[in-house]
Amino acid sequence: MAKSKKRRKILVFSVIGVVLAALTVAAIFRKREAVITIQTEKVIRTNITEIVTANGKIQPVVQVKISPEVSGEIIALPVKEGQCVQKGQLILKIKPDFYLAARSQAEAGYKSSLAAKSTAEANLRKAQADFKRSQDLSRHKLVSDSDFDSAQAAFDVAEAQLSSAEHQVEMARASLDSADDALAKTTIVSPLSGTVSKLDSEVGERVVGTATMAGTEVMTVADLNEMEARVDIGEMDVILIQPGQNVRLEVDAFKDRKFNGTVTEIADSAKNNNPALGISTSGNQEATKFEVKIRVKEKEAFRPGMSVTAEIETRSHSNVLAVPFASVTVRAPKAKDKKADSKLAAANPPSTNSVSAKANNSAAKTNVLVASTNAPAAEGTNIASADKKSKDAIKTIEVVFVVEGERVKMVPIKKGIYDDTHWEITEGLQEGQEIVSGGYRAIARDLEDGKKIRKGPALADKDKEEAKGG
Amino acid sequence: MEPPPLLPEPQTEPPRTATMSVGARLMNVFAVPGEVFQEVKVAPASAANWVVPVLLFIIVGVLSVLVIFSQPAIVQQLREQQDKAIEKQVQAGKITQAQADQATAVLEKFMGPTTLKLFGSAGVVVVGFVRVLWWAFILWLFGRWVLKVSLDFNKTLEVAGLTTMIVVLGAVVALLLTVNLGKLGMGASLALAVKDFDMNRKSHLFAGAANVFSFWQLAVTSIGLARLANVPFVRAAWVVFTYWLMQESLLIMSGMGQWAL
Repeated sequence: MAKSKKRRKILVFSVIGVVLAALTVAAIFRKREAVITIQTEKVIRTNITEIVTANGKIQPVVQVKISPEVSGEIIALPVKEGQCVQKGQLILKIKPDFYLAARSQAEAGYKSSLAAKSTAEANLRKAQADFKRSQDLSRHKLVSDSDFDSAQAAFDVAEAQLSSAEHQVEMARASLDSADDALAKTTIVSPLSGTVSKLDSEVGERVVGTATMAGTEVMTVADLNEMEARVDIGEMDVILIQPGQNVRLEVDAFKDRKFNGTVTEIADSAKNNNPALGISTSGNQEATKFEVKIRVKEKEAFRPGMSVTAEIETRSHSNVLAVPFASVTVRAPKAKDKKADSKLAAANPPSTNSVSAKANNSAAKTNVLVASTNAPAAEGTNIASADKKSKDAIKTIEVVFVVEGERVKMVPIKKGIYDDTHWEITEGLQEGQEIVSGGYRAIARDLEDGKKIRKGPALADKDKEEAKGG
Repeated sequence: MEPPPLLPEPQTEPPRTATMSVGARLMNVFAVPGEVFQEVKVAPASAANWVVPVLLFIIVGVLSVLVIFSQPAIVQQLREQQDKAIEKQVQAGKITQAQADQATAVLEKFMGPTTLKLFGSAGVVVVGFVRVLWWAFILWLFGRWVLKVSLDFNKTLEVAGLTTMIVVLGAVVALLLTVNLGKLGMGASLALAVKDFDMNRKSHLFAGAANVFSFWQLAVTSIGLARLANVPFVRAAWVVFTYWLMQESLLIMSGMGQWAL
């Protein structure tokens, strides 16, 4: 009995000892390294059309703001908002009484000046006759020198008075014409055929008008048959826009339809700038935007002010190498490679496109790790903040991780254009290479050259697996 | 009215001096547990029978925590699990991506390996004592309500303490397996056969709970209960194993499956 117990003890402890020893030895000599779960895709050839997306408003191509050149009370407004008008049709009438009185006054002044001129002519004739008579008498020494001089002076005066009277007639004529013009301006007709898109005044209101600057804006007449989209493009993207580029338009009011357009005009100055002062009149916080006009090809019941989203096809490359957005990230080059890579980085700085709807933010598209002191970089160097653009261009390079067996290789790349889902790769990769396309954290932070990896399903797929297997 | 009948007292031998040393008891519980518990039953109460195993449990547990959270592969797995949990919240619409990024940053800062080692070590100390006390209480309850035997709590405490030695051995094996395989939740269990063991999946947790050392510990506990209560081993084992099954199922189904491993 005691012997069997002893044997049992020896057996149990032996087994425990052997197992522990084996596991310990294995643990000591086993190489320990992190295995990062990733997803992969292949480098493909595809067509890429670069699109710049911007928001704006639909406006008529031709739109006239009607404001009077004379002041007064509106006595007739025979149009309504939304009404179609023809060119030359009466659209506004201002009370003419004041201007009628002014015209009458001017006319009277003109007639008075004509009468004065006649008087001056008569005086001149008399003075001329007296001077001639005095000349004859003076030859025969029948009149004194002083009388001759007086006659001559009277003739000169009469001539001058006639000249003055003629100028007064011209002045009175001009005043009369001005009064006629002001009277005519109390009746306003439409300068174009179109639609009253906006009506700001009512009958009985007083409006202010001047000839030298815009007065009270009474209404707006627009040609709604020709519409354009006016969108705001950021300064980083506006350099890609050229007149004639095709545009796809999505108007919020017509969600189920897409419209086509063409770029017609690109602003030379930013919207917030005051060129005269040479400075931005807005605060530094606002993004700099340039207005781009896009003619809409289709006719639809657009109304001025409707919201629109424009996708401008800026560049298009066919049959080029492409990788998914998520595959591209930045890393600090290793110390020994910094010299060689600084040239690559200077030639290929991280894209800093402006933020806009859909696919316009390349910082969102590339896995850029910003301002993280925990980012694993080669040899312990930290990646610089994306705010310091010039420093980023030198310190980091854009890379893709290529799968080689159980490990990844960090490959510097050069990017071209991009669309909604893919970057064009111009240097660094070959068609068919397997590259890391997920997860986000692995690409942005964890992966380095030579790290061990294992392929796992994407998070959404993993959740489906869990739902099946519980 | 007649007073209620007294519960039958277990037949106990008169107390005698222990023949095994503490060390011998701790080692013999692996090979000859019946002999060890028989001595525990008749000998005077000895706190060393449970305090020493608990201390050993704590030492091994702290060492495990320090070693495991120093493994790059394990830390990477933890990060991936954290990211996955946060991403689930985003996909369910409970938090935005910006909030998810913030949460990730906070987790990195405050739940890194160093913090995990600290909290893990503290947790091991608490668990060490709570575990033994809990099992002692459970055994005492089984004696009173199921087996209808009055047991001394100190004795059940000693039995629970001594069986902890098997848990300690299981923890050492689990530590070595985790280091070798580079995966969390490894042990001498069916989890070894599971590809991509995930502690968030209930099926994987059940596989992890089916651990050789757990069964061994339950068997030895049954022996201890049987000796203390003077009942057949089968009856004691039936009670203990049934309780364990219910406990594990409850922990796993309620989302606290990590405690079941």
